[in-house]
Amino acid sequence: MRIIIWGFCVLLFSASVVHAQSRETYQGPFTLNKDTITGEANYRYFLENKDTIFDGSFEFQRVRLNTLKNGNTEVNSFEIFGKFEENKKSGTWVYFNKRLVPSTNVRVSEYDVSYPARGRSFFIQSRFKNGAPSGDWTFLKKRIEAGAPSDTLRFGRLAFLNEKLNKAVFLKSADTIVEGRFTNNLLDGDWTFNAHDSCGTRELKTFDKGRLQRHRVTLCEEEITFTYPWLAELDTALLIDTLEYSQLVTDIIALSLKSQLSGKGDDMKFVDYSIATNLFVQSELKDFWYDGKIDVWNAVGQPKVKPTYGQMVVNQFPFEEGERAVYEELIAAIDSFELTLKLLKDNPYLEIGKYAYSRIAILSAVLSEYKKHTDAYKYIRQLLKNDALLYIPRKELLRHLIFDVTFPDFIAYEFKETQRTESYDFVQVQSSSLNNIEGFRALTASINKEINNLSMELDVLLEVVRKELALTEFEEDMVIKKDSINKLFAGAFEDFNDYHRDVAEEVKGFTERQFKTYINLDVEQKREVVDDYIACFRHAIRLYEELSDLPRKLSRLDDVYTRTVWNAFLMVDMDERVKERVYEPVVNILYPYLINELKKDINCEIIKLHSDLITEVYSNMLDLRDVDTRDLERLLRRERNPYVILENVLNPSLRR
Amino acid sequence: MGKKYILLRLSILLLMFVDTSPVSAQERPTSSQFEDASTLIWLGTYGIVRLGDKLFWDAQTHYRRGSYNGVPWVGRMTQIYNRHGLTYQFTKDFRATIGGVLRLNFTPDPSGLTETDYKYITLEPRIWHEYLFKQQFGRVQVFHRLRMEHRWNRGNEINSEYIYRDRWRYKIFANIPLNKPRFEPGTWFFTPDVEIIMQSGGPVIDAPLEDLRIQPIIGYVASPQMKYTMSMMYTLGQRRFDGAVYRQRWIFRFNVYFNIDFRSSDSKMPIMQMLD
Repeated sequence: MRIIIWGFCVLLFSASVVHAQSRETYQGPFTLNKDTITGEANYRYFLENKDTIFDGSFEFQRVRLNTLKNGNTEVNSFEIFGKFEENKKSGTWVYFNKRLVPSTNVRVSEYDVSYPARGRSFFIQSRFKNGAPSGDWTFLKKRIEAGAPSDTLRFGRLAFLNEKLNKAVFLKSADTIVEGRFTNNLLDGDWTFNAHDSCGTRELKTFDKGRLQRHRVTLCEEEITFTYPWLAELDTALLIDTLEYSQLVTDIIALSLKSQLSGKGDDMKFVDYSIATNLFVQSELKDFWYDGKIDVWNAVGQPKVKPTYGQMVVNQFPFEEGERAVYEELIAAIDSFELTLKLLKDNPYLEIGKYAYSRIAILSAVLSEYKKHTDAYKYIRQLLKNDALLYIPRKELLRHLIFDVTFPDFIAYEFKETQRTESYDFVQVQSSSLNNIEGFRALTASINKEINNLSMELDVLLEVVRKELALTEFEEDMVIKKDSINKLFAGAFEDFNDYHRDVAEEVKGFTERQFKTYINLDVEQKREVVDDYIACFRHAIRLYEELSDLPRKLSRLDDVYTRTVWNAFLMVDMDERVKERVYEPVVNILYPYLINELKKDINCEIIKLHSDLITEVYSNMLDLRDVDTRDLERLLRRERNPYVILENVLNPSLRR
Repeated sequence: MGKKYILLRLSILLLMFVDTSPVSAQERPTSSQFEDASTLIWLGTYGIVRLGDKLFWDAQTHYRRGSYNGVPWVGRMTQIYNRHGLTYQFTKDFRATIGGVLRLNFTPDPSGLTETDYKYITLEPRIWHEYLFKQQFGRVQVFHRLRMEHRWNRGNEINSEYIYRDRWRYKIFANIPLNKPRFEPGTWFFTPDVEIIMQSGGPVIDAPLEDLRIQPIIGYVASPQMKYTMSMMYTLGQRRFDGAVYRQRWIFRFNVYFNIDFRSSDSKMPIMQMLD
């Protein structure tokens, strides 16, 4: 027996030694999983196959100073702490995020100096068991003023049992209190929403293990109770889905609600309120898991914790054959005429054109009539695209939602500052078109076709307006350019030189003739050639600029083609022309030719060509100075023909 | 210091020759005799070949003819003259040259009209060095040239012996551009040119003034490499055997001056920039 006792003691001691040796404490920099949040951590762990296994306490803290847009410094304190058991969260875990801006008021207490802060704090306390949610969870968002919590912004409390949401849930914000319960993750029992307002706004939803049984909304003493048989009753003939309490559930409830209402006017406020309360609950439930983008309980450790927000049980109502196609055709027709109307609205010539052409004014008024229905159509389209449609009996819903499409027999429009009225045949609306979705689709297709036809007719008219307006602008531009040419070649500016003077009369005369020719054209011809005339005038202005720069270019060539040589007899530096056989023909024959030809036969092509050549020859001459030009010099020897000179100077194959 | 020092030395030297020139009291003539002026033509080429940034090869040739047997200016061949030297351009205003001359002196009587027998050609070698200074006064250039020559020559007479003499030459001339403000291709210029040539040595007894040359020159700068000059030069100098006798000449001169630079284009930088 003594041996057994001693043996047991030795074994116990050995195990504790082994265990004590395997667990380590880490203290130092640490980055939370998948996040870029880096701070200081202090935790216990052991290594298993070189992997760190958290085991024991875990504390993480990061303090960072942020500079706000207003220049203030914000202190951001981020903490998360709890306990692991072999990598799995266990017991109480706390997340604390404070964003505080220190005030300038200094507090001194004994030997401590502090700055009371204002800001916000976000606190979540959770419990885990074996890595899974368990027990009571709470979160709290507070506003901090003068170094102390001032008021609660949001508060939430719920509980997990057997890893599922169970028991009561309490959610509170500054203006809403929600009380409800979950049973095995399912919304269950009464869920009450009480708003802190003066007219007693409240909502009651009664669930039975995930199925919405009753729905009552009270808005300022106006109370309506809704029942949704397709949600409340379990239909075993249908598929049954258990949906997360998310946007889809919100949409199902909202659509169910809409199917009970007229779809118009004041009734929509009940829908809006219901949507708002659903979104509020979903938002509050999210606060147990997320702080903005931070996935709080998956920031550290394994296994991954899956957030849960409760569930609702619904029936599926599969689409009948061809039903989807009808919806898609309807959506396509709405998209089409909406785009057409938008393009027309964006066309700047519509507003101008309707004052100039009565037909444009009429078409614009017609389109305005069609446009009046676009908001209602958008609503229909949004609804038809909603995934929640699968969970609603659609025939009844859509019958409620199809709106009355009516068009007048006359249209009123303004033209030449007078109000006019004219009869117009809009698309015929049969009563059958408004009774079912198929008829509505056919009506919408007709409207779309009509709008497209009107648009095509308008496009043609608006193009005419565009050209007329453009023509006016072009002609203004042309006149400005003509005046500019006359002013330039009249020597109004300091850079007017002999080259300008040489061709001034020809250029001015040519410009004037061109302008007169243009003026005598009819409108259609003007539209076709106005660009050419403006381009021609632009070339003339450029010619002036080229001639302004020609003395500089020639002076530069003179410099480039001059070499300074030491004359030993006179003992002076003496300038010498180099590559004279290239320089002389270009400067003395080619350039004068380019100017003189302008005087002989001035036209747009010559003006442009010679303006280009002035620069091109210059550029080539600069290049030629630095290359072997023996071949070129041989060809240009005693050459007097400017064409030959030009051809050879621009010929790159004559350079070695 | 350089220019002034050299000029001072030269002046003293010239004075020394003037003062110490031997004069025979017994044979002293009562007046100078001036020979009738002869007429000659000198055609010359003056080449300067650039060898380096500051180093040049100076190459001069003359073709000289003179009056003979009633034919003025060109009656006979007188001399062919080769002068070569290496020039170093110290600054843009000063350069020095050293080199050699080989002159071919032709017989004074190519037709054998006199009884004296002459060698058809005799050689006259010289060693020479010169120092050229430039002064600039506005558009006018003034040059001072000091040239020293050490020469060996002989008469064309059959039995004539070689004698050795030193020549001391000072030349002042100016270049005045006429049609342009500065020298550039196309410039006509006028050059007043005066040179005094003194001589010394054992054979020089009473004729230290070998030549005084005065020439107004008209020139034309054709290009930085080429200029031409033309002048009518008057010279006056003592005959070596009789200092009382003065020789007079009118010489028509036409010269071509050329610069050649055989270096690569990249090296053809103006010397002024090199010196600056």
